[in-house]
Amino acid sequence: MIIVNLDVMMAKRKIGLGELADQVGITLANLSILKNNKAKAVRFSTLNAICKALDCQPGDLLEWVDDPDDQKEELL
Amino acid sequence: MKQKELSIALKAIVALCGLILAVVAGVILPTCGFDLLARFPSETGLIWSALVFLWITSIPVVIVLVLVWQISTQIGRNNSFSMENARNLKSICILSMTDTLLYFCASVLLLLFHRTFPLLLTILVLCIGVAISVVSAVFSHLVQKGAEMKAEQDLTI
Repeated sequence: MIIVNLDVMMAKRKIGLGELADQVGITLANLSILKNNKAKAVRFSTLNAICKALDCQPGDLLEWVDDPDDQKEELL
Repeated sequence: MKQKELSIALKAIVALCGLILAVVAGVILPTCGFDLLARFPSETGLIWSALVFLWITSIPVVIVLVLVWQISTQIGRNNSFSMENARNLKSICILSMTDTLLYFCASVLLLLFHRTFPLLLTILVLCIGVAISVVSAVFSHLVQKGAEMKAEQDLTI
C-alpha cells in the first residue's frame, strides 16, 4: 500500500494544514483525507501543487509498504 | 431544471398520486363495492374478496410512494447517486413484482372458481407492473454503480 508522509514534510517545512491547503488550492477536508491515508487516488496536478508548496519530491511524500491486506484483496 | 426544483416537482407528483390513491381506495372503491353488493347480493363473497384484495394490493403502492418521496429528498440534497437510493429502487422493484404476482394469482383464481377472466385488465396490470419492476431494477443497478464511482471520485484528491 502507498503511505502519504505529508505530516513529516509539513513538520520539516514548519507549515500548518490550513496554510498548506490554501497554497495547494484544495480544501482542508481533502488535505486531511490525504494526510490520514484515506484517499483512494491523487491527481498529478494536486501532487505537483503539494511538491511546489513543500519544495520536495513526490518520493518524499509517497512511500510503498507491503501490506498483507493487499494480497487478500488480490485473492478475492 | 435544478435539482431542488426537480425534487419539489417529484414530491408534488408523489403527493398527487397519494391523494388519488387515497380517494380511490377510501371513497371510490367502497362506494362501488357497496353499490355492487346492493345490486348483486348473491355475489357478496366475490365482491368483498375483490374489495379486500384491492385494498391489500394498494399497500405496496403506498410504500412505493414513500420510497419515491425519500429518493426525491436525496435528489434535492444533491445526493442522487447514493447507496440508499439504489436500495430504495431495488425495494420498488420487489414491491412492484409482488403486486404483479398478486394480480396474476387473483386472475387465475377468478378463472378457476368463477370461470371469468378479465383478460385486457390483467394484461394491462401485468405489463405495467413488470415494466415498473424492470425499470426500477435497471435504475437501481445504475445508481449503485454511480454511487460507487462517486465514492471513489470523492476520495480522489
